[in-house]
Order: sequence, then C-alpha cells, then structure tokens
Amino acid sequence: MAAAAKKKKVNNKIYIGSRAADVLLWIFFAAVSVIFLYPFLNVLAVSFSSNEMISQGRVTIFPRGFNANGYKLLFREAHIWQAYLNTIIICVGFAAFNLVSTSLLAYVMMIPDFVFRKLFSILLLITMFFSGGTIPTYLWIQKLHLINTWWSLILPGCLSAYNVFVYRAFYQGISMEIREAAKIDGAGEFQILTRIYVPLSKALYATFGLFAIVGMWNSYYEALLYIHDQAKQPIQMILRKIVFTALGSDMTETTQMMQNGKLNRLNLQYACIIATMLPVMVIYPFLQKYFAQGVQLGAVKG
Amino acid sequence: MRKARRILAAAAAGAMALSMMPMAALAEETTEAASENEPVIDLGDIDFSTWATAKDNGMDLPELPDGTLHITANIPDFNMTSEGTQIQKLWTEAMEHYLGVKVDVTFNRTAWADYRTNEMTLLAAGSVADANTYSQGPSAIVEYGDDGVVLNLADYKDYIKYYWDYVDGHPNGRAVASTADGNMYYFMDGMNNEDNIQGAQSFTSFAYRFDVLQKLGLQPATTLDEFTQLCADLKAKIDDGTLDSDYVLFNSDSNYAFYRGFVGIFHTWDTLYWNGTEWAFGPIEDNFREMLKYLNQLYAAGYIDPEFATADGNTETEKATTGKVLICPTLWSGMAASWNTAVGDDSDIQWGLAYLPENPTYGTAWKWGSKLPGKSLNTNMGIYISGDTEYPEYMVAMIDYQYSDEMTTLLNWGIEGKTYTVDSDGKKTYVDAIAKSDNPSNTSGELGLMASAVCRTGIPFTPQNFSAMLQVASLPEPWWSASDGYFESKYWIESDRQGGADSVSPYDRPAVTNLDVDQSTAKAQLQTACETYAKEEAIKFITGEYDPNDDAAWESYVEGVKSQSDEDFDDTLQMLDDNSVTDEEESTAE
Amino acid sequence: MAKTKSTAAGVPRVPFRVRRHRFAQRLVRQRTLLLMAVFPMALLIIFRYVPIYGILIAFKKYKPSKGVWGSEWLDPFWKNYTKFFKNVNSEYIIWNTVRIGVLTLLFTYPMPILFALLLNELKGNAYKKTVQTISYIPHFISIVVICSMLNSFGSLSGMFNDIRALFGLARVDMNNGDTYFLREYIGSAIWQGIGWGSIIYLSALSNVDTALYDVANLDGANRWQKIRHIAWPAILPTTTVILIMNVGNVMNSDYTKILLMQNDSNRSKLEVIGTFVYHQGIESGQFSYSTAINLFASAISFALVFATNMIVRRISPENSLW
Repeated sequence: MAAAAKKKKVNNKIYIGSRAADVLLWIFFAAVSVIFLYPFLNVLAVSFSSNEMISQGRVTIFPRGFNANGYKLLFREAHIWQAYLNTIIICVGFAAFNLVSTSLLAYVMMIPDFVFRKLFSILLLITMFFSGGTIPTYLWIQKLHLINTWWSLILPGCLSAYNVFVYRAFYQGISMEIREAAKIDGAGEFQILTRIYVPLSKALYATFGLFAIVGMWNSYYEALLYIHDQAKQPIQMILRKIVFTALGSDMTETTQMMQNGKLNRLNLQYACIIATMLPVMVIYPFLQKYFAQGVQLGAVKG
Repeated sequence: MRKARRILAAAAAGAMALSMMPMAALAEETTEAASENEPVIDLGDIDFSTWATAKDNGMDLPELPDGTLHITANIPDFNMTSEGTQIQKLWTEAMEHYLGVKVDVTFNRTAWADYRTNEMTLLAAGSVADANTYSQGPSAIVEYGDDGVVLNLADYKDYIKYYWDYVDGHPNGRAVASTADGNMYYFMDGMNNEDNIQGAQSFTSFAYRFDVLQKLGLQPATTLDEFTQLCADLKAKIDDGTLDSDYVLFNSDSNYAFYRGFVGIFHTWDTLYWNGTEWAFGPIEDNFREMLKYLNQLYAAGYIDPEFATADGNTETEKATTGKVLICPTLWSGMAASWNTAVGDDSDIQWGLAYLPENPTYGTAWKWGSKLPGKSLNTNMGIYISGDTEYPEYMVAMIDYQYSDEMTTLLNWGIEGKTYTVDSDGKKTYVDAIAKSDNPSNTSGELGLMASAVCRTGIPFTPQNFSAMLQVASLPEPWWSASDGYFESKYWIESDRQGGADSVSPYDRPAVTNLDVDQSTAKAQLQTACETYAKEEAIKFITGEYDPNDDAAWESYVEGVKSQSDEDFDDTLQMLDDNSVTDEEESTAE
Repeated sequence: MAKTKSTAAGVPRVPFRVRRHRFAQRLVRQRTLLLMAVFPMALLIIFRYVPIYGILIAFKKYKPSKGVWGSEWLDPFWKNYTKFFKNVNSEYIIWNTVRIGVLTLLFTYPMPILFALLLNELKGNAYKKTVQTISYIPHFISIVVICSMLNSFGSLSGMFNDIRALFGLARVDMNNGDTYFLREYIGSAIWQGIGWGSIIYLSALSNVDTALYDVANLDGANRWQKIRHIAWPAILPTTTVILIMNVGNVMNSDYTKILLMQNDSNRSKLEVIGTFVYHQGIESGQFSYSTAINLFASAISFALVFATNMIVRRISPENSLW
C-alpha cells in the first residue's frame, strides 16, 4: 500500500491559490466553530452548575456554583456500566451487519447489466416510505423469537435503502476500468469487491460505520419495545430511566419537592446528554484519518 | 490489502461480539448483587400469625405442583425503584402467608413515562405478563377484555374481598368499577384518605411575592375586586420605580393556559368537564367569556407579562427567581417552595401562597384535582391480569389482598414501633428517623414506603394512604389567609381548610360515563382538537386581538371550536350525557 | 473525470447483444452476483416486507385484539380519506407541510455541500480536523435542548433580541405566532445538520485522485477552477443521490421539533401532517386513521422521488437510482 505513505505528501496540492482566501476561510471557520460550540458548552456548564445559578438563568458557557450532583445520580445506577457495554456490543454488531450487507447489495446493484437492477432499486425505495407500523412489526419480531435479544435491534434496521444508494454512488465513482482489468486477471465478483472496492472506499466505510454506530447509540424506541430484560438494555434506556424516574415525569406534585434545592432538573438532563455524547464522540478522531485528502488510484491498479 | 483485512477483521469482531449475547445472562447476576447503601432502619421480620389468610376468607385455591406460584409482572418504576427494598421483601412474605404458597414474581420494570408509551402496543400484541400495571382508563381496555386477552375479574368474585371497600367507598363505585355489561377488566387503583382531606393539587392558589407585599403594607387578595386593585397598586409601584420589576402577573410555564388559574374563580373550566348535571365544554361557556373579559382588562392595563403564552418553564423560572414579576396565577404545588430555594441566600425574594380570590357572583372559587374523602378509586389506573394466566384464582386473590388494611398499612406506614408510632387517638406518626431526616420523602422511599410518593411497592398500583403521604411527601410553604395572616403550611391541607366543601369542583366528581371505542374517539376529539383550538383562540380575547365584548367575534369563535371535531360537536356532548350514570339515578334504580 | 463518465452505470453502455441474452442465461452468468445479493435481500424481505401488510389497517376498522387480518374493512374502505379531506384543517395542513418541507429542503440541502467544499479548501490539517470535529457536535444535542434554547434566545430578553438591539432594532417576542418560526426552524436545522451532513461529502472528496490536482496546478488553474473541475465532479454522484432521497423527505417534517416549538400563540399555524398524525394517532388512539394519513404522505413522497429520478435520468443517467 504505497498510497498511504504518499498521501501525506500530496496534501497541499489543492491549496495552491491566493493567500487572502486562506485567511478569509480561516476566519470564517473560527466564527462558525464558536456558533457550533456554544450550545455544547452551555449544556456542559449547566450540568455542573448550582440550582440557583441555573434557575436564575446565569449560566452561559462556564459552570457557576459548581455542583456535580447530576452526575452522581447518574453513576449511582448499578446497571449503567453493564448498559454501556451492551450498547457497545450492539453498536459494533449493527455497524458490522450494516456495512457488510450494504456493500454486498450496493456492489451488485452497481453492475450496469445486473438482471434485477431496476427491480431491486424499486424494492429498496419502497421500504424508505412504506412500513407496516409498530404492532405488525412487533408481532413479527415476536414470532421470530427475537424479543429480548439484541438481534431485534440489529437486524431490522441494518439495511437501509438510503445507504445502499449512497454506497452505489460511491462505487460508481471508482473507475470501471479497474474492475474490468481485474476480471481479465481472473478475479471473481466477490474478490473484486473485497480486494478493490472495499480498500478504495475506506472513507465511505468510516463515514457509514460512524453513522451506524451513532444512530444505534442514540436510539431507544426499539429497545423500549423489544428489550424487557434490564440486564440487556442499552445505555439510552437506562439514562432515560434515570432521568424520568428522578424527575418523576407525570408525578409532578412531588417532583418539585424532591429537588430540595440541591438539584435542578437540568443538572440531570444535561449530565445525561454529556454521558451519551462523550463516548461516541471520541470515535470520530480515530476515523478522521480516512477522510484525509487524496488517494492515488495508480497504487491500487498496480 | 492490509486495510481491507482490517475492515473485515472489524466485521468479524462485530460478529464475535454478537455471539457474546448469552454472556448477558451472566452479567445479570453480577449487577443484581450490587447492593444499595445502608438502610436507615432495619425492618426485620414480621410475625404474620395474626394476619389473614385466603383460606380463612373462605377462598378455595387449587393445589400447586411445586408449592410455588411462578408469575411475571410488567410494572413501571417511579422516582425510586421498589427493587430490593425491605418493604418489597415483606410484601412477598405477606403474600406467601396469605396465599399459603411460595410466591416467585419476575418483574419487568420500565420507567413510568416509557411504560405508558409502550403499554398499548404490548397489549395489542398480546405480550402481557400475568399481572400488569394499567394506566389508560376504562374504555381502552374493553376490547381486550371482551376478547379474552385480559381476565374478567367478575368471573372470580369469590376471590375478591378487600377491593370492595374501595369500590363501595367511591361515589357510584360499582358502576365505575365495571363496564356497561358488568364485566371488570382491571383492579382500579385505590386511595385511602382516612382524614377526609379534600385538598387539591394545583391551580388552587395564587403565588405572591410576600416580601414585596409586606414591604409595601399590602395583602394578597380575597376577592376579585381586591385582586384587580392589588394589581393596580403594584403596577403603580413598578411605574414609579419603587419596584424593580417588569410586570405584575406572569405565567409559570407556557404549557399551562394562563387562564388556568382563573377558570375556577368564574365557575367554569378550560376543558370538557362534568358540571354537576351534564357534560359541558368550558371554553364556550358564558362564564368563560366573562373570565376572558376580565383578563382582557388586566392585559389592557399592562399588568400581564406579554410572554404569558410563549415563554417556557426555564425562562419563567428565571423571571420568578430574579424578581422580574410579582404574582403567578398558574401554580403547581411545590413550585413556590422550589423558587424560594433557587433565589439564593443573598436575595430577599420570598414567594408564598394564598387561596384563589373569590368572585362574589359565583361564590367560593373551584379548585382542581381535590381528593375524595375516605376510600376511593383512581379510575384511570390499576392492574389487569392476563387472560392466559395459569392460576387466575391465585392472581385475583393476590391483587385483592393488596387492598387489605394489613397490606396497605405495611406498604404505606411500614411496621409499628419501627417506622411509625400510634398515639392514644389511634393517629399514626412516622418516627423521627424518617420524619426529621433531610428528605423524608427519599428516606421513606429508600425503605420502599409508598407514602414517599416516589416509590411504589408491591405490584403497582396499590392503594396509597393520603394521610401518610402528607406527612412525608409534602413540604411546608409560606401561606397567607385573611384570618391567620402569614404562616407556614402544606398545600393540600390549606386548600382543603381554606377552600372548604364549596370549593370542590364538579369537575373532580364526574358522573360515570361508560363508552365504547368509537364513543371514546368522539369524546377525544373534543378533548384534543377542540381544546387545542380553543386554547389558541381564547388567548386572542385576552390580548385584545379579538374583542371579548363583541358578540359576533364570540359567535365565530364558538363556531370555530365546534368545527374542529370530526363528529358533530353537540351530538357528542349529548352522547356523553346519554351514557352517564349519576349518583341519584343509581340510588333510584336500586 | 471524463473516463468515469464514459464507463459508469449508464444503460447505453451495455452492448446491444447483452440485452438480447435470454433472461435465464443472464441469471446463470450472474450467479455470483445473485448469491452476493441473497443475504441483504433476505434481510430486506424478512424485516421490511413481511410486516408491511400492516398498512392495510388504513382501510380497516382496526381492532388491535383482532389483528390486521381479523379486523373488518371500513365501509367504504377509503372512509378514512373522506374523513381527512372533510376535516376543516386538512387543506391547510397539507399546504403547510409542503411549504415547510420545500423551504427546508431548499435551505438545508446545499449547506453541507458548501461546507464540505469550503472545508476542503481550508489549509492546516490540525485546524481543519478541529473545525470538523466541532462542526458535528450539534448533531448530538437533543432536539428538546435545542428547542428550549431557541425559546430562551427568542424571548424578549434573549440572545437573539440582544443582537437585534445591537443593531438598533426593537425587541420582539420571536416565540409569538409563526413570524419567526421558519427562520428558527430552518436555521437550527442547518446548524444541527451542516457538520454531520458534510461528512459524507468530505468522504467523497477524499477519493479524488490527487494526480488531477498535479495536472491542474501545472496548468495554472486557480482555486475556483479546481473546485469547479475537480472537487465538484467528485461529489456530484453523491449529491445527486442525496438530493433525490431528500426530495422524498419533503412531506416528513421534523414533527417532534415542531411539537416542541408550538405554543398557544402558534399551534394551528404550525400544524403539519406529522403533528396531526401525532395528535390523532397517539393522543386520540385512532390507529387506522393515522396510518391512512401517513400512507397518503408516503405515497406523495414516493411519487416525488419517482419524478425526481425521472428528471435526473434525463439529465445524467449514470446518477439516477435506476
């Protein structure tokens, strides 16, 4: 893989151009970053602030009247670490199934003269808009004996039309000549996919792996429906439970009294947001290298 | 090709991770072992020899193969889970004593809000446990009962003994507890209000800035005229710079209609409600228009914060705790107390409560959500039993026993001498370790005592004891009344004492209206589409966008409200009346 | 990029005789491809198509205890639709859904593309990565928090009004009525989605053959020309596919967000199909009715995607869905 080594060097080729534009861009992105960062900093600050400061609306981007009771309440929950582990397994499994099934189908559908190209496209498209609804789906999952298993979270959603079409568009960007050359060399379709298309689509896999993991990480509705066993529940269910139970939701009469001045409901809610975001956000920097500019197709051809 | 292999390896790792699923079973045991912190009181064991048994009650229970009743229960968790609490353990022991068999319950626990979201889906999918908490009201369950998914309790009346106390204590109880055909598809949640405190939860008092009133030598209002005058006085003080506030009146949260605090004063309601003789739609009543005219005057005079319909709870809390506003008419119990804790030590701001001012035209203002005296039912909540349960006799006897005095005392008060004491008048009081703790509600909740109002033990819902709840779950707040001046008291107690019997609104004592699914849908139209429309349009009469004195504007508003229903509006009201049974009818029929 | 065009998935590229191959022969010849499609298609059929019969309840008097098949048909079976179109608000709701959907698409769709192209031009790897990481943070903040912030910013003493005051404008309650709704709704959607949405384009850009830049630099191409002739063609297939599919989302307004932004001053003005279904289906428990309305919206979306795809096929066949 010479490409990887060469990538670093070629990085600046695109930037040959005016200095003024560079500076303008630099300023523009600095400004934009501030706007992007504000709500996050606010959430972080509020999660660590005192009830008084929050109630009086005096917290902006720095915590005021330090208070970590929200986090204490979160991590008091016995099931939370188990739930994190569950979620990681579910997310990885989901991403794996997602990537494998999507690549297979997208590759097949990219072949111009594939027999069912149009049929499959329309079949896929239909699933984007029409579904049987909660109850028939539930009954079917039940019939398949998937209730209370993680398969009920992984399998139903792992193939999405949207992903297949985007994958296909990506694959189409890879020169057909490579495929034809490989064919002449005697490679089968499966080998062409795994030996040529997959390595050339690292950025694609990084992107959709991230999308799959984050999507599954943030979802809770399916788990609410299908996973009744507390020991198997993903983190979102546990976090929701902590927030809902501690805040009392409908039992408003007591909610207000419970606070006793030590905890603002935003402490807990926002602590929850941070506890959800942080673990999944750390994945991104690891994937970022796959988005690095430039690939040298020649390296693969050879 | 190394990268490609790495991706494949990742996929393989994922697949391996999936095969780890059986491991979760192992993990369950380890998490279960993680115990809570030390309990305040060790409840120890109970000598059950004097407690009732199903046998003594003449119930004939079948023999069980291994002498153990294995059942599942789908239940919600409230603020605190009952899992592992001492009271929950004693509940099982008491049940075993009563039923004469070992009891092994597998609980599926879901947070209350999520439980409600999911409830009907599970019922529709037939995915029900032996015992299930229910919260969707009488009409939604009928079809499942008729279909056999849910057990008809009326077929097992021989196994019901204690539940009747609550049914018969409720106005028109037997009709309330069954369908039009006489079937009973769930045990309704009970409430024991032994001291007959008909207090109310919310929107029953106005919150005033006590510090400001005292400084200016003013007082909360007892009549509507006084209230108008008070607003004028305060407004003058804002205008001349004495007070550093923006507005006199504000709303605590845009989720509540601003007039919510005023409807009771004008003896109407902001929803569909039972007015004592028939079903009425509050927002189109003349009284309601009266009220809008009054609020329009207040708005025109500049007393009301213009953001009353748009600012959310956070923004409004900010106003309340930074002194921007002076009176709040839309108040949940406990809100004033929570504002007071949030103002900070260096601030003089003190919020306090006074009962709703009275409008002489109508008499004592109505309050919202007042408790029934004695034993009664909370008709929307309860427990249903699966139609497929293996031993329905045991299930019915078991749930029924939760309504016995022995059991409710255990779940609410705990054990005499350990968690509460009884004085010579028979009045129960919690021991200091609970009552005088930092947070009595949490302390009692950690034991599993239901009076905490944060924990529900047994198979929810089991009857709550209101007097017990008042001791631990209700915090005192600053109050004012014309006779007592400024003092501290609890919301439920004051709203009962100051409001008196006249303040109990007919809204809280509705007739029994048994509806089928289509009729419920028609009713729901009034409660959703029509109410939503009314809420939005009524505000325009307050702000003056529509003139409340203009009959044409009012007529077109009423027409608009009625047109929102898919069914004919007046027919729906008539249908509700036709299906309603009132106390009088019931007694003459008997 | 010329070579890609000539060889990509266009139908015209397939030699005439191949198309004349008998169907069975093609099946045999493509058996590896078919085998590869078995697993994903099985997932699709088992998990998406088997439960799809549930749509029938749009035409049935659905009783959950009887199930979809057991429930009686409505009489006439399109009754839910006559009910919907008879509703006093239905016309407004449909129009409002389309209006909000189209405007949202117009403003939110191009943003991540622009963002990605601009970010691609940004010099300095560390800075670029930082900006990128920061840009997708908003995606993780829950909609409840966003809406609560919008409410606070738009209130009379809020940040938006502070900015207005800076420019000498009068303070207005932006939460009142629907005057500012679209601006806030679309603005926050852009803000929340721009970084996250751009990831996909950045990943497309990372596949550009760097040799192209060498050639361009030798030819003395300026920045704009490089964007126009190298970067843009590289992401074009992706942008097209995403455009087609976003058109299908026009009818799906973000109804949870709208519900959160509703208050008593604007409720009816902000009603869209999604919120209507929520009120009818969840709050009033009318399963059949809400399914019927959803089906109506889905059918429109499907038709829109179909039409868009036709147009795309005319213009650049290699980028169409089929």
